[in-house]
Amino acid sequence: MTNDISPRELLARLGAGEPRAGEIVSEVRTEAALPFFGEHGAAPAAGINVSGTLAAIISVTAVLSWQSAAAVQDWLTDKESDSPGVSNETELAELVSDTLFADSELAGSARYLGTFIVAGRAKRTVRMLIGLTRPVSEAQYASAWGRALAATKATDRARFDRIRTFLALLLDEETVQVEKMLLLSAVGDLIGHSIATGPSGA
Amino acid sequence: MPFSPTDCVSAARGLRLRPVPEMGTCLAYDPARARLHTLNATSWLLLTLCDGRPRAAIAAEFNDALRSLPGPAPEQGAFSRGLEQLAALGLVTTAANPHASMQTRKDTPP
Repeated sequence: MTNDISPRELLARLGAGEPRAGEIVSEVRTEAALPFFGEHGAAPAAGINVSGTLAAIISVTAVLSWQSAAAVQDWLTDKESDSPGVSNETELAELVSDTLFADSELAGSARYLGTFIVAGRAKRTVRMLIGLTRPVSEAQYASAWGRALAATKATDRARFDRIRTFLALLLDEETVQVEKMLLLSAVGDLIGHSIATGPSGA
Repeated sequence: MPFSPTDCVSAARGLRLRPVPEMGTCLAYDPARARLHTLNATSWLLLTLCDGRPRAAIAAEFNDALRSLPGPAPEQGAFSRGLEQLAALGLVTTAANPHASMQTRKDTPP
């Protein structure tokens, strides 16, 4: 979908309404930090490196036993692929970015942002984040996963089995929650569209 | 902010616009103040018309544009209300019209 549209074109679609303008509180920061204790204090490479902009983030969160969380951690770092040096997590990232919407106009609009583990005293919270660069409905997202897994199963059964193992670790848990978080302020990239040069042409 | 019909109205400098047609809005980012705003299509049109012309000229084009659209137009005074909103958010600035000043001086008896 293109954003190259003028206000007159948008008005022609929507009809003229009462002018309405307001400020968006796009970010609230505090100076506080959350302390983590214990042997699993600092998470290595915990930052999310996102290039470009995201319209939404899908968060798959499950509270796992230490044993299951360790299995997730092991799975992410294991290198079972036929390609030397390619970890399971890299394969998962490729599936998300290359296959998830491959057969639709949304191709390339999903990115694997990472899987993060927060250690607690009795349980661990495991959170997988997937970024979407374009607005995608829940139905589109769900069916894309079905098609991507079917395609992987048809072309590379071993890889499919590895991905399924990981998804089962998260999704088979009764505590799993899948949330879609819209990032309103990130829908537009806000880059290079000034009054003078923007698509409005003003 | 009180406006004079002869005041020239401009969009704030450096403003960045990003239409989000699927949501019927346009985002406006003001880098000078690090503020993000959302405008509906009517306010977006109004903002893009604020290119330094006198307020009366902007009002004329704004009202012409709305009249040309199908469906009911906003209630009378929409232009003034919209401009006041934009001004309150710091998205437009006004300046006295130099030509209007010269005219006033010319007409003012010595």
